[in-house]
Amino acid sequence: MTALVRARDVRRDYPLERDAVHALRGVSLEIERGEYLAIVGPSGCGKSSLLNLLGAIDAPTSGTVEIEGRNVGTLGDREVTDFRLRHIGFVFQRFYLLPILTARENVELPMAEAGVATAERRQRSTELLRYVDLGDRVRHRPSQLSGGEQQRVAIARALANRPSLLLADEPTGELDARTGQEIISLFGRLNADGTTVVVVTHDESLARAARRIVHMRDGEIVQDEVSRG
Amino acid sequence: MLAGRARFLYLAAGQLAVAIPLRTLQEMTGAARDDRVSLFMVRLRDPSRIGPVKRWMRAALPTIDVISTADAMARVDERLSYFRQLSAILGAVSLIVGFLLVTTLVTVSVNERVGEIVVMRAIGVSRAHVVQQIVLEGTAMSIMGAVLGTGLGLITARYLNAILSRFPGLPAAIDFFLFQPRAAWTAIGLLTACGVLAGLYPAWRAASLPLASTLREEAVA
Repeated sequence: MTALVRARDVRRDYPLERDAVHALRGVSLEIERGEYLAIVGPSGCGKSSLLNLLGAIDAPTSGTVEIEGRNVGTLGDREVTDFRLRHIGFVFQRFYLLPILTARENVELPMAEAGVATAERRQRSTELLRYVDLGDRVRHRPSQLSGGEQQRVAIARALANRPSLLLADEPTGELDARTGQEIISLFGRLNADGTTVVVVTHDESLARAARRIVHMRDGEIVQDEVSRG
Repeated sequence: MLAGRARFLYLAAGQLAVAIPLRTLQEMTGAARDDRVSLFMVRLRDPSRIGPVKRWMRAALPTIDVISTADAMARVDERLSYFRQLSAILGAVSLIVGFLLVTTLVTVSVNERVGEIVVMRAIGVSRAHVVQQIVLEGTAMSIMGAVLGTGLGLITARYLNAILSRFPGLPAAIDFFLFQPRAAWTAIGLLTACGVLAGLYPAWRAASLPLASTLREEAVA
């Protein structure tokens, strides 16, 4: 079976004036469809750099990243943007919803970009907001929602175009423990419903909720284990 | 006997005038009949003969200054040309200031929303759509400014017109500011074009930010 994501000997250097920061030093990783994987490690170990490569936000200095069999490092800006739109969902620590749009409009945004018809957008955004337990908040703007609610809208937005891969960078980082737990439960439910989920986190409870945990240190994967959580 | 009422365009505000035949006036003033007329107005049956008639009058009446309506208009126009130039300079300066202001406002707005913009790009919104969105904001700002500015300009022009028209000796019928729809549309069009141009650079800059490093900076900030 072909892995959904396959990273091979990936290196990522960030050039400085005289030297370079070696964020990733030859990382290889395969993620199958339906997996729930957490990437953990100390700050600066390369977790987010790896996530950016897995999400085609960044290109490796060397090595290859294949998602659904496509080497995303070879795609041009327009192609890779469209690839992200249709195949990858992102959730960020700071939600980054558009403040002038309602929850529903925020969720509809990626669908509008993908050319989904208005009626279908409306129906799907309603379903997604119900899925994240925000069916009664569709007309609210981000400023009228709590942090946890905003993150749930961001998750609904990430799922808008039915991505094959959901990536989350510290999704509970801005939330209190109880709200964070709600988000962790939501990720579990998403994965149980078939979504492939990859999270980068410092949050131990979120990492334990994943079925596979990848430990990183100094730009390398030092341990890849099945979660005992 | 009152024959009728007329409004003379060259009368200053508050100035009164009575029109009577010259002969009647001379009879009314009695013996002193010399040098009592300061202005003759002559209307030609054939306006195309204005040149020869002017030359004939100058030759026949060398002590009289003969000018045609076109000459008078040209003299007024010459005096107003400074005013017109000043208006053009002020308009150009306003346009440049407006352009810089919209550029600054759009840039500040973009800088405050770098995170949002980069996340939009990350989730798959195309660069062209990001640019379009930001340019639209700049354009909307300019259109609002143009409409408000035009309204304010009309009010100010009316106020200034009232002040300038009260200058002593000026005919009351003279207007210093005339609303010309074409000029207003031109101004609104220029400002709108400025808004589009002013938004382009910050929009393109924002849409071209490197995603990974900007996201990292935003996460640290």
